[in-house]
Amino acid sequence: MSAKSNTITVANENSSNDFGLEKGLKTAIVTAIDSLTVNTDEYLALNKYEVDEANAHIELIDNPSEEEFLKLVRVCPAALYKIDAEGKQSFDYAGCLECGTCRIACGDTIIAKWENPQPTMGIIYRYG
Amino acid sequence: MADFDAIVVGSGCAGAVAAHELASAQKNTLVIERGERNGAKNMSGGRLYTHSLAAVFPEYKTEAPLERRIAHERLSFITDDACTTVDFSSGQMLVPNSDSYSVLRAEFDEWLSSKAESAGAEYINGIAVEGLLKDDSGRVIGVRAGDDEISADIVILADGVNSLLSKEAVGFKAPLPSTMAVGIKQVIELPEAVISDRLLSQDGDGAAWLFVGDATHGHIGGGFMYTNRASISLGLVATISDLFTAKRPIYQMLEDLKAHSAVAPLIKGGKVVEHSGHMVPEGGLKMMPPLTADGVMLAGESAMMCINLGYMVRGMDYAIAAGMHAGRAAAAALNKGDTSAAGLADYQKALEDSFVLQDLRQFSGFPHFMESTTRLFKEYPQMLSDVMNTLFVVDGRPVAPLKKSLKPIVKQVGLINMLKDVRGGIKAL
Ligand SMILES: Cc1cc2nc3c(=O)[nH]c(=O)nc-3n(C[C@H](O)[C@H](O)[C@H](O)COP(=O)(O)OP(=O)(O)OC[C@H]3O[C@@H](n4cnc5c(N)ncnc54)[C@H](O)[C@@H]3O)c2cc1C
Ligand code: SF4
Repeated sequence: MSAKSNTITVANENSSNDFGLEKGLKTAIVTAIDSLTVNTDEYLALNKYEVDEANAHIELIDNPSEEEFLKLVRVCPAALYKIDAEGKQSFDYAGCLECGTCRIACGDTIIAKWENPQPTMGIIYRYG
Repeated sequence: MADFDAIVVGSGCAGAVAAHELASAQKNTLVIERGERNGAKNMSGGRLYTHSLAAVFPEYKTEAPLERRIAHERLSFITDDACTTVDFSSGQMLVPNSDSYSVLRAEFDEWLSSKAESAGAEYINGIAVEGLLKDDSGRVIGVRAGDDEISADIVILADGVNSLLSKEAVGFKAPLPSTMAVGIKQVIELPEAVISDRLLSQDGDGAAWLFVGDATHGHIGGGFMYTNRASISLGLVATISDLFTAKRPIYQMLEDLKAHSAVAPLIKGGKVVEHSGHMVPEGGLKMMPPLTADGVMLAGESAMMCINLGYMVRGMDYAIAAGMHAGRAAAAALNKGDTSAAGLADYQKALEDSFVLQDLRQFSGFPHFMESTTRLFKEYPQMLSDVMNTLFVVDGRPVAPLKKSLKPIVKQVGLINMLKDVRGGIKAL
């Protein structure tokens, strides 16, 4: 996996700690998540994967709600769900750790499909 | 006639042991594991209580890839800049089969599966079971994997916490995010001697260390550290639903923990070699699905057999014991020629008689306690830090009587609340 720059750089350190969801989406994203100092992609680059370029084993519904998507931003240990400063969402299954957390968090809302990767594909832990 | 006597889905702790027991009883056994190597998909914090391994493999001490014996138990309550620690060690912790070892699953699971294979179990690796075969009566009669359909008189689901099959097998719906935690971990390499020195450990020994409070920035969960031989496993476990309102994503919490003044010196100069994630069931007995149906049984975390007490996560020893009982009960049912739910009833009974279901019953109130006692993660670590600062910080100002200094600290939480929480905690344990 190539290390990409982290796109969740949303921050407004002076904003209140309350969620601003009702204040409109833009504000919500800006206040909902602190600025990040970690680039998880660099860690994922240390892992061993057999990436299946042809098949996405996890798929989202079209136009997922901002509120649900933000849950995934917070819980995915691989930081694969991202929202940039403009509020644009992205998801990349390639670094998936196959933990299933997104399935449990949003399986009946915005996760449309969660399957095990195709034979021999996906994460290969060398330590575990 | 079915293709196999038994099919075991998954070769983690429960599956490999179940397959070992079946094959040892001369049953024609197939294990299907989606990892190309056994263990390739698995992660745990990494501390195995050995008692249940000893029951199946008495020779484990010399054979199993154990990392370090855990000789130090540490529990720290941390705020952003303080750390109050209980450090416990005892002779009793070191008595064989009451002891525990750190393990790394890639290697450990490979060894476990080698035991099943030497007993005669066949393996298919690199393919996930996608569905179950059922007859008209709804009885499970085999599995579907890729284009293959393979039949068996009994199917054991040992496919772990993220089982995609338990719904089809026993009607288990995906658990709620409030009953599951996400675990994140990094393996950080360091020279063996450095680890021993930093953790004040003898050669071959090491420490288990849990962090409550700022590790999850006040959210329900905690940090953990286990010493391996030449690496440190450092991570976090946090309740999924509670993270929904967190200001920081879980991976940032881990990065913050690594930078905490109590943790940073431990891992200084270390090299991250792996970043992993896995879930932990924490709903206890109340979230457990039925353990059997006609032609099928569940063992280990596919049946949510795990406890997370904050100061201790246990699942591997339950999975090993459940795998053992499942394998034995399945072999007995095959001998009788009855693998219906009724024919498998001895499995449930064996677990009821063992520590597995007795522990899960004992701790069944604990998930609620953790959930409803959020003070554990914010107020109490802060209170401890305030008390310790009062005791230990000397700045030249006249010292006030202890009672007077403590009063405002205790008042923040309130004596009644504290008593309530202590009582709740004792009741739940
Ligand atoms: C962060 C963290 C810390 C933990 N710390 C500890 C600890 O210190 N001590 C402890 O005792 N426990 C700990 N646990 C819990 C422990 O890891 C589990 O309880 C234990 O691994 C469960 O064993 P199992 O055999 O049920 O499942 P697993 O070990 O997960 O095995 C399931 C197997 O099934 C395979 N599989 C899944 N689906 C399929 C399919 N469809 N087809 C084929 N194969 C499939 C998987 O690849 C896997 O090999 C921790 C867990 C986590 C996440
Ligand atoms: S399965 Fe786990 S690692 Fe993969 S996308 Fe979902 S939450 Fe992230």
